[in-house]
Amino acid sequence: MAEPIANHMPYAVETSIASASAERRARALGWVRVLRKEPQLWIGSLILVALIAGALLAPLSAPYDPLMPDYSVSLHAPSRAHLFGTDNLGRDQLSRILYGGRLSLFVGTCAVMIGMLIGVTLGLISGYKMGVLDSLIMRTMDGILAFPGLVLALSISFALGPSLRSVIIALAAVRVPGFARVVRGQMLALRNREYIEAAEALGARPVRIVLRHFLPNLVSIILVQVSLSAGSAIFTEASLSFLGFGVPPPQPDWGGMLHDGYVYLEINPWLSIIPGAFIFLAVLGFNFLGDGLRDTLDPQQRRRRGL
Amino acid sequence: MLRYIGRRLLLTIPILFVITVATFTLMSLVIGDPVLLILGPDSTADQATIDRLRQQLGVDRPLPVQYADWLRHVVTGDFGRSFRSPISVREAILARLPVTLELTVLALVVAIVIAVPLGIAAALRSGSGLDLGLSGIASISLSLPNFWLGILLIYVFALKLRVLPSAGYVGFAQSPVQNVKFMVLPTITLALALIGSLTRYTRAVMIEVLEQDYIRTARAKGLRATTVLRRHALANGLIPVITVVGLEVAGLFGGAVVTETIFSLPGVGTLLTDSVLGRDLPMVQGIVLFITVTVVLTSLVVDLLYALLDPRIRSLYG
Repeated sequence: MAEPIANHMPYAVETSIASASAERRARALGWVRVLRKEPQLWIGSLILVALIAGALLAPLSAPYDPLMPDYSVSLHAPSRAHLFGTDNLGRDQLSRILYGGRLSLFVGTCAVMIGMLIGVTLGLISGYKMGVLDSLIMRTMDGILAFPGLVLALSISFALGPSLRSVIIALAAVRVPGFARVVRGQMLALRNREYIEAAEALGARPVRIVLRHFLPNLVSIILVQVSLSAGSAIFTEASLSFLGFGVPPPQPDWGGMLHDGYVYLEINPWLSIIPGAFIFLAVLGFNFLGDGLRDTLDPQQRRRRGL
Repeated sequence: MLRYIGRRLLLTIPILFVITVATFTLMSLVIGDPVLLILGPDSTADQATIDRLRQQLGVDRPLPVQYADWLRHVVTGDFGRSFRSPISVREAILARLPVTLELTVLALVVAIVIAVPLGIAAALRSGSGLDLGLSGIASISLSLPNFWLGILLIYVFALKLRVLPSAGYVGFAQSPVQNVKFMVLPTITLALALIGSLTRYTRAVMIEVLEQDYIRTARAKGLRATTVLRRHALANGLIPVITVVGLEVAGLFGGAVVTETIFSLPGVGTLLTDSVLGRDLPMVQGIVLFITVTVVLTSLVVDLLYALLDPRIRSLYG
């Protein structure tokens, strides 16, 4: 009995290695094919990688101190010394854009992560428990969704006072219902699968069923939601800042730069054009990534939704 | 139909409840202690005076009681009085409402007039260059920040070409021509994102309709393409588009806040941002509640309209 096993072992190991590398190659090729078929996916990723790299490398790549005024060059148009021009205090716009990206992207990402944690938890509870608790949670989500996102964010940051923390809380609260709804909807679709029934029949505890059997099947749909939410969160953050209710100075963020620069539209339009373009790119990047992910992960949706 | 209306109304009640609780809770977070807010930091009032004031204002009662009391006033349209000006919140909102209504309705009409034909065109030639181009533009326009677009429009049309005013408002009754001039740029600014989503949605719905059996039957029996489109496809395809209006109305109001601020339109949106700046609590509370309840009621009306036009929806609810 021992011999065949010994004989088979190397063979089995060999094929598993071979198939693993073949599989890896196929998967890599699959990704290349996906990227070619989904231009949105790679355009979105490319934009985001560039923006995130710019923000992370700001201390190395920024040519000037983003907060240091230099009145001798105030309100200059883009030139070789200042690629994006200067603002009314003579601060270098390129450096401010690079540092501003840190704040804008950080606030958006934080808000989405918090919104995701709360929203997914509520969705899991709602989708698993059903009944009264489900109705309670979902009607609350409906109520929050009825508020225009910007108006809700504005009221929350008004209630909590102007600070980085309150802006993040406000943006996170706006994102919660989206996650809860998506997760609950998908759980209802998964409920009657055999493996869920099997796990329940085996007497697995609810927490284990939800985390081990439901959650892994929700990852892709959550990923899409994260990407689309990040686009909306950055957009709302910029809107708040543009209206003057964002993260208080002195740290620059793109919406705040637009807010400050807008006053000088006639003298130096670049102060409005450039920060707005970066907000647009960030939102576009996340939306493209989200749409591309959805089309890749759920091809049936592709035709229905357009593009 | 009556049963459908009944069910739909029942669904609206908990949503309205959540909205009022959320608004009330948020604003009671701001107040902290309204008595101290009224007296100011340098007040030397003794504890007895403070307690008496508390009782007068009714803030010594538990929050649920205060909520019930507040709700009773709100239901009758009494939103309280502004901290900063002598008028009531309701008067202030009503005075600003016509501008916001004009802006949102104009944007909605413009969006429908532009987006529906584009969506149909893209669906009829789905997969073609035209379709790809339109869909691409639609999804880019969805990411375009409205405030940035507004600023760019002001720069080009008001500052460079000097053909349209950059900010301000003249009532339609005063001068229709001036009114239209002031509304052109804000309307474009607010309508653009809506055009994007409406085009996408119309396209998706039309593609689905065009694949239905009854369309194939109509084609097979030799009807002309235009007849198939007009009599069979559009009649069924455009009804679901109505629901988008219900879904987008919240975004429309949020967009109006930003748009009114850019173009200094004296609407409810600027009233909200001004009140937040002035920390005018009753005003903020009233406006937020007003906007959100309007959103809920609009989507209610849209849903009822949808059921009225499409018997299939009604039968779903039996």
